Amino acid sequence: MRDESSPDAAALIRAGRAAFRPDAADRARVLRALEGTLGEGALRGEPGGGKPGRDSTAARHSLRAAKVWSGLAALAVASGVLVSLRSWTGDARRDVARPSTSSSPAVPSEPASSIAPSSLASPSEDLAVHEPARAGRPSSAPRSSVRPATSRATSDSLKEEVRLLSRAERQLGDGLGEDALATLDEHEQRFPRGALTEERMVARVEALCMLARMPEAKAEMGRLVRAYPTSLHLNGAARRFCGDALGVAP
Amino acid sequence: MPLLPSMTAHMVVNPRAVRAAEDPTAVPSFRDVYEGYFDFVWSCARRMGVPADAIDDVVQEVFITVHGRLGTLERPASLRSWLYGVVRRIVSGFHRSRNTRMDRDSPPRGIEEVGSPVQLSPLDLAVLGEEVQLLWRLLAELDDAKREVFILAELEEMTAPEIAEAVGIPLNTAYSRLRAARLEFQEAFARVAARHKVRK
Repeated sequence: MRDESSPDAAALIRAGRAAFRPDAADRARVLRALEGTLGEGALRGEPGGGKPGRDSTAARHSLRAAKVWSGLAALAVASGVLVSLRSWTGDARRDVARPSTSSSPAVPSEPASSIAPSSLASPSEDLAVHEPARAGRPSSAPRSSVRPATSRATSDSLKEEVRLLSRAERQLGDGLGEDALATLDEHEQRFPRGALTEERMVARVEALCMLARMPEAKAEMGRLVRAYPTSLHLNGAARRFCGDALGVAP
Repeated sequence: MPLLPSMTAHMVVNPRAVRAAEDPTAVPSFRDVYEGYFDFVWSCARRMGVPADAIDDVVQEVFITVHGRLGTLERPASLRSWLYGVVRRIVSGFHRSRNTRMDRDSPPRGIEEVGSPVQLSPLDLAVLGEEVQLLWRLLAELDDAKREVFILAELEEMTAPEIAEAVGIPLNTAYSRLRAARLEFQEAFARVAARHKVRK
């Protein structure tokens, strides 16, 4: 029995060993979550875990894709607000200063509130193409029948960026590193400062790691760190995917 | 006393882990790793300062990584060290991203407040017994490197070669670091005991 007035160091160690241990409920809960992420087949106990690399790569990609989509949603909200503001101020200016001689495309002067949902709705529409799970999600706002040209241009370029990045993600998931790099090159040529530049850089690091082109992967990682020092991806996908090979792991 | 050199208490109860330990050259299945080392992964992550509200996500991420990289495990006999390396990287990433978020959302803080690996949350403090709280206070007096080897040796009951491999240091360094850590821990403990007596 331990003396309360002079606690025994060995007793402390024993208490430390017993602390922070999970219970059966913890084990079962995490197992369920893993089954949801990796699929039940991955946990059935085939030697080597079946095809772990492919499955978990897909899992990581799906996790990262979710981050990309959420980023896009935020971007869409921001662009919607911007477009609304610009339309509103533009309409106001036209009303006051240029009553009839505007050379800009004819845009019906709609209230800002009717324009914003349109630009919000279009990225969601784009996502539905690539992400069946979202297809049935009801849109929370009505669509405008006419969109301003700026909104349409933004939406179209974003749509194209999403298409290219999605293709690169699929190619990475399929282990087609060279193809993914080609897609990413195309993205870079067409959208050198696109909304998804950060995601493109992360995907490029992954593709280079996949192809064991480590010096280039390190260089790209360096560019990513410099361009986006607070990027959530720095500690996430690229590092996990490339492991210690980048020399940036703790 | 472990039944086999590479077995420890948390594995004894698990037949899958026993089978894996019996043949150290066989690559275990993912399920075996999960069954045999879930407790190890969980407790390592918690001891590295992952709070209760984030532990599920961190442990899940560890096993997703393990699932993806199990095929690259070169020496199945050193699975525990390898696993520890995975936990270490992911927890480190967790702390960095959490600190980044906190730095963005909060005013500047002192370095001692940022991501201390032995910092216990208020919930932990409420739940843990006095002995564990005292142990963590003593561990906090060790520097990071010594604390890590001390925890691995004393709490996870890893051997020095396992620790060397897990932490990525030479075996001699592991031994000397552990010796120094034990000395410092004993000294810190003696100080606490002495204060206790004086107060009494």
